[in-house]
Amino acid sequence: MSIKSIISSLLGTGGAHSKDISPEKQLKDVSSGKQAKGRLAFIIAHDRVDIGPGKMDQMKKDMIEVLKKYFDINESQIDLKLENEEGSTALLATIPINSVLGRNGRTARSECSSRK
Amino acid sequence: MAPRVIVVTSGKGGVGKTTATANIAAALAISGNKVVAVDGDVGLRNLDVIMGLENRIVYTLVDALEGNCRLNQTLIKDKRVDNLFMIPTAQSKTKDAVTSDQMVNVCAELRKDFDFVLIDSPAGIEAGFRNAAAGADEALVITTPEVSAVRDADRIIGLLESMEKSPIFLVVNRIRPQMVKRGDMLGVSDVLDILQIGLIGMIPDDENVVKSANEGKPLTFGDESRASVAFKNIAARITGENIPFMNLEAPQKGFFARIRDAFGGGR
Ligand SMILES: Nc1ncnc2c1ncn2[C@@H]1O[C@H](COP(=O)(O)OP(=O)(O)OP(=O)(O)O)[C@@H](O)[C@H]1O
Ligand SMILES: [Mg+2]
Repeated sequence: MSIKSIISSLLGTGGAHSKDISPEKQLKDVSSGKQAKGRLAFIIAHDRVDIGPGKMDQMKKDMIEVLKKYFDINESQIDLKLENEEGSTALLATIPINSVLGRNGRTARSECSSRK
Repeated sequence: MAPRVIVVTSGKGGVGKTTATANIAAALAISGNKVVAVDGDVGLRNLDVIMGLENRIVYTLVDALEGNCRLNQTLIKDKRVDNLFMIPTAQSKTKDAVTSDQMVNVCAELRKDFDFVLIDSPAGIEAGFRNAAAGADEALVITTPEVSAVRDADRIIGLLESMEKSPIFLVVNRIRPQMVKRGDMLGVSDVLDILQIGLIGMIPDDENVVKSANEGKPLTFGDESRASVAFKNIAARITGENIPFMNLEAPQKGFFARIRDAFGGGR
């Protein structure tokens, strides 16, 4: 498991697949410095776009309403997060779609970016 | 060389702005520049105390702005080194005693006589910070390696960018190398990853900083402590020298090793 995914699952920002280790165990394994960095990255990403985690949840609900009109989606598997890369912030959404044709559902990954 | 006006800022309070202003100003003066350090923290003046010039104050910046004296009457010359001056602010006034326009004018005036004008800003994003920064071209942002301080630094950097300060450099202060090594403190590279801004200095947490504040004598006047060397390095980088960053993890030379060096030893 990569450090990045440990951090993101610690923060509760990981995807649906990152729950193979219990948070309690991870908390013990990750140094406080690493935790500090993970928390900072999360806080600053939200600060820079001025949208707190609560508002993100609300946006997620709104998005689901729209998406449901077009796709058959499993709400519990949707993962939205903000990421910083070289001074710009991106909204990363992972939205698994249940394929209508019956093959195993593929994952549609969409991104939109904004300068900070 | 064109005069340079640099504001020393931070988001979070108490991270070392005043300490940095005093020490960098002193180091710049020692290396031959004519320097004035201006206390921009109206109502909470500290720079005079850190520099050990508190007994010499007659007029403050606010006196000059209120027309009680001329600006050059507020200048206190440091007698311990050449070329170092300080302008105190008022302790009994509030932030409203100085406006942005006035600070721009003060800086314009000081540019005529000095190579460097360093402005010690109050913490935060309020009017006090905006006024202190108004007349500056460049900025130094001080942070400690802590989540709250770095978060607030990000906010200040955004504001400084919108005020078109350039360049904006980061100083990471109060680093505890042993803690970083153990993984219990953010490292400088972590902070830079997050803030995406140029680094100009890394200052260790050092007891000598407290002692120098007790004595009212900037470390960079002579002391060879690590913090002193780190501040001198910042001053040198500001003047364009390419100084490698100190390895804070290397063991500090002991007393005997230094004596040996002094007598031409250390071969
Ligand atoms: N590198 C260091 N090592 C040890 N102590 C330090 C260091 N830097 C600063 N300090 C201590 O931290 C305290 C705050 O420093 P300082 O007054 O310079 O911060 P400041 O940012 O100007 O605070 P304020 O926001 O209140 O103006 C002081 O007691 C100082 O001695
Ligand atoms: Mg201060």
